[in-house]
Amino acid sequence: MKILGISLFMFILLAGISLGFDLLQGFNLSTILKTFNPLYVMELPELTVLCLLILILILRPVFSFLQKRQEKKR
Amino acid sequence: MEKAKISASQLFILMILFQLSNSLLIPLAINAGRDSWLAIIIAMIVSIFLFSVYQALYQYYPALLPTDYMEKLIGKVFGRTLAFLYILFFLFSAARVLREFGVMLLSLAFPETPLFVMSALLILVVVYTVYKGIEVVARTGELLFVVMGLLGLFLLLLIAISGLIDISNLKPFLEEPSKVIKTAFTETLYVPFGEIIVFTMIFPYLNQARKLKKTAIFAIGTTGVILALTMALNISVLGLALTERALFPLLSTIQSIEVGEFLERVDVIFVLILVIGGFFKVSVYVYGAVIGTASLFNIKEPSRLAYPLGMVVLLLSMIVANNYPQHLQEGLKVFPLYAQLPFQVIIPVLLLIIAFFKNKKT
Repeated sequence: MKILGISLFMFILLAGISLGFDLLQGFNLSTILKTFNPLYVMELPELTVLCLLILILILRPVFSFLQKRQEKKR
Repeated sequence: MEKAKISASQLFILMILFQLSNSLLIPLAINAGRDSWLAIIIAMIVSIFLFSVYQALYQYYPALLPTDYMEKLIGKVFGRTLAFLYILFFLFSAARVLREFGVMLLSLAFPETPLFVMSALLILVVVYTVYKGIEVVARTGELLFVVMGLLGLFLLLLIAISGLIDISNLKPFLEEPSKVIKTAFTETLYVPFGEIIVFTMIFPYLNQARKLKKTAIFAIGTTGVILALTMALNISVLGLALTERALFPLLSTIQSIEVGEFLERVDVIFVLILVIGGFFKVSVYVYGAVIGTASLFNIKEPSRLAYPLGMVVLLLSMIVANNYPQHLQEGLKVFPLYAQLPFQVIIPVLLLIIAFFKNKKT
């Protein structure tokens, strides 16, 4: 869970930095926000791959958390 | 830090693969016009001095990662914040490289495949390699360096045989010297030479520390000569106007190869070379970010960070720019000034000054 939190925090910060770079280049906010969302430009096959990748990302920490809980119960 | 060691030759190969990768793809130092090859050579010489700064810092703390010695140098709060910023810088750079390779593969070989799927395939390989550790990255480098070198030589031979090279395209020499100097110091110094800052995360894994200086300088020199030759070749084959307009100049050069009316379309070999290089560049950046994060947040198994940080790079590569021309503009105007100049030049120099005075006292 800690790793997921760190990664999410980093992604939010990096997305903010990317937004900042776009603003520095002189683009207006509405143009940037349109493509800022990666889901905005995706079609069904891409979304399927994305969901699969995110599922793998979440499954592992959840699985290890459940395993630890079982061990504690024993 | 993981318990691993790499040899000087492995470091040499990694540095060459890392620096060559996307520099072969983009129109490097093209603002210097016909003298872009000269701008690359100047940037290479200056970058050797820049490397001396990184190496001097490493000499003060040979067993520590930069994320650790920053804390020792400027205090816990500032040191950790700076280390975290460096990790973000590595991840952002990795995302930019991933985007470049995704676009290249799409525009050349897979026009119907979505960018996200292409980038996802590349990052999954990177994640697996980083998960296995630096020794695996280095050994893979040894294996693929030979393939890349042989293919590169084959392409060079084909270009020479096909009689495309016209040296007169490179004349007049030194038309605008001020442009050459400006390009060398504002663009080429940061990409690809300054990017070796990420290797400061790998230096502590070197098994023969005394060989570092010689190895790295030799790697920088070799890369500089190869890149300068490549740009000179592009301009002599395509001419300046076409090289300036091309998104991927070397690709256009290779596409014009035609030997004996039967050997054409060898651009697939070029793609193979680039994918090898791109894989290493993203791998080294992600590896730097992974071990940096592990040491900063006290994570016992750094390999567990490989997949989540790989996903961060993947998603970021999708939102890093609206389109490829904007991505290139960002790489030429905004990114060098606001990210590469401070992280590659200013901060290391300041840290070295602080390290010098701190170690003088004790």
